[in-house]
Amino acid sequence: MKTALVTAQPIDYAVILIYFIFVLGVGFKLKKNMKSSDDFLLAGHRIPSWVTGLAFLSANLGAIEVMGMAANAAQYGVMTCHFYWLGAIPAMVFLAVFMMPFYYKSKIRSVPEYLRKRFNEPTRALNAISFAVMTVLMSGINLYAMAIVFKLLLGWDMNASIAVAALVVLAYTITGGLTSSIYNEVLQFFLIVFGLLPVSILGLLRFGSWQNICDRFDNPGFAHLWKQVASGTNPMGVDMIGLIGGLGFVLSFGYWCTDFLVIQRALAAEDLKAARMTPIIAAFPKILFPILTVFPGLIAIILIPKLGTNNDSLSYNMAIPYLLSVMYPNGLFGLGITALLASFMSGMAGNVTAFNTVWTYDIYQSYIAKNKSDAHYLWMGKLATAVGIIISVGTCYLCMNFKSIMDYMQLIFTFFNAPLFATFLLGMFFPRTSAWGAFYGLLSGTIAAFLHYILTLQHKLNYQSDMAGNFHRSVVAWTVCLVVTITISYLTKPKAREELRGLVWGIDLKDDGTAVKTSIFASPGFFGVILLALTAYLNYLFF
Amino acid sequence: MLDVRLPIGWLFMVLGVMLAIYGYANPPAENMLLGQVLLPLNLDVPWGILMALFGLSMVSLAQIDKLKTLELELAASKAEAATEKVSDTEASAKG
Repeated sequence: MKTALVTAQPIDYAVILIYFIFVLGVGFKLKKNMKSSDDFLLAGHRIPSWVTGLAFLSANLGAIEVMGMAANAAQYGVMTCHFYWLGAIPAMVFLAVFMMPFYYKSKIRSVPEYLRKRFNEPTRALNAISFAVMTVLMSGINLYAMAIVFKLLLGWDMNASIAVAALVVLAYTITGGLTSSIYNEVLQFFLIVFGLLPVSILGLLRFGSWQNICDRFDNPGFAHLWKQVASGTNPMGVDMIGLIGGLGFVLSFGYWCTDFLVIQRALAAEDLKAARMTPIIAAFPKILFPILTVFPGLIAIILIPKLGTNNDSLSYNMAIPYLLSVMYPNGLFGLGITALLASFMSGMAGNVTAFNTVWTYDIYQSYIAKNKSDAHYLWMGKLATAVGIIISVGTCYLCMNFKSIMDYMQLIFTFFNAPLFATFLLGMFFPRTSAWGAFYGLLSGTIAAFLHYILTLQHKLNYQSDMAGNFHRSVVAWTVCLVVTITISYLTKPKAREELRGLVWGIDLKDDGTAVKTSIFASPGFFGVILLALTAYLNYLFF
Repeated sequence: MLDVRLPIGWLFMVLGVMLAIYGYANPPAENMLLGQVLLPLNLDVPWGILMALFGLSMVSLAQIDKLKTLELELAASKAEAATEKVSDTEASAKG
């Protein structure tokens, strides 16, 4: 076994232990509120928007975000910010302004359920099954990343740390359900901020100014977002089509607007206004998150020039853990480790709580055991939570075979989220889209992504990097789904206009007189414009 | 239901106080080494205090909200009692 990089003191273990006690305490405290399957799987629709907003952000703040983004920054420089300012903010604003009203008002319990209402049962089944597979494939990433960090930083046995983390997540999700998962995500958000911000502050103190940092990059393009993209010589190996079409449009909108893992947090909100404000509240801190993830990656590559020279203790993924071990005194080191641990555990819990809902409502209740009592579905939700965690442990060992966790994740997104976004776009904004058009479109989009991947593996299609391949694959999957859906929709019968009420743009629900008029300055659209203006300014600043 | 600000607030207060006391009692043997530069900073102390203050503000906000809810409930029950009293008086006057 590798020796640890730093000696942890009892104070560091005490910080971790206290965090565990609080996490488990939250789960047990919420246990008495879990009376129905709705309480357990949907958090009873009673959570305020600032809580769902931070949970919306944190569900995505797992291993990939914290370790993967810093690793990318050390490897590719400021270009990594594209994952935030191009690949997240516009899609989050679009979700809040245009799509959330359909999700919330149609009273669906999950994203596949929207597909059943808008299209038909087979489309829902296809999405439910692919989503269930995707979430368990993803949740293992967090366990894997956690085990690696603890092995290299503290010398812990990988199998033991996987088992401990899986048991803690099991304990708090099975007792408190989605509410417990959301509460722990909010807790984790603040832990990440307090646990990682000192790295950036110390980094800035060390170098004095941003200009001094830029002067130390071997490649001057590291300080720019767009400068090297046009010439095609950037280290990420991406071109304009891949970056804007793949990341900026298909992958980002596909993830933020259709992935039930994040949508579920907004659906748990207390009313429509809170649900629409959820992505907006999440987007403001999201704009600033590169300070916690990208900036440390840039500091790491200057302070530790050997980073990236091996795939073990000096892999790019170790950028943040390594900085914690050289910059932090004991005590703060424990806090930093706890922040990482919290992000891995809540990243996993997010996937598991989305999986148990889709399994219980969209697969089990719909196709296996209809018309059972609510107590039965509550029991099934809990069983699905436990099984989801066991499968996650299995997929954790699967992702050990992949070179980079970021590539593994984007690859899975190209199969499932990329075509799904075309289905949603057509379903919500194009009434002519027929049920069978959507089904065959979605199926062919996913098959096209698989075929594209096989051709890439056989080197019949070549890209400068795995990342560029993923971006292009997503564009292919999206386009195939779009074309097939439109073609088949014109060959088959669309649903009657009355059946589409409240599900399609322009065909509203009948006004029941309960709608509350809000000032334009408190509307998601107004905040959306502010967010887009800020994002545009940051792109200009780091051009 | 449990207000999420309470566990967050208490966790940060406990951790913050722990960090500050530990940092004060065990100053690092050498100052923070960052690359080639030494920073005269015992980071546990200021950061611990900041965390404890954040925790305190979270708990306070939760308590203020709780008090406000209690006041509203009290006012509502008083108003309800007054309405009942009026209707009782009207009923007895008619009778």
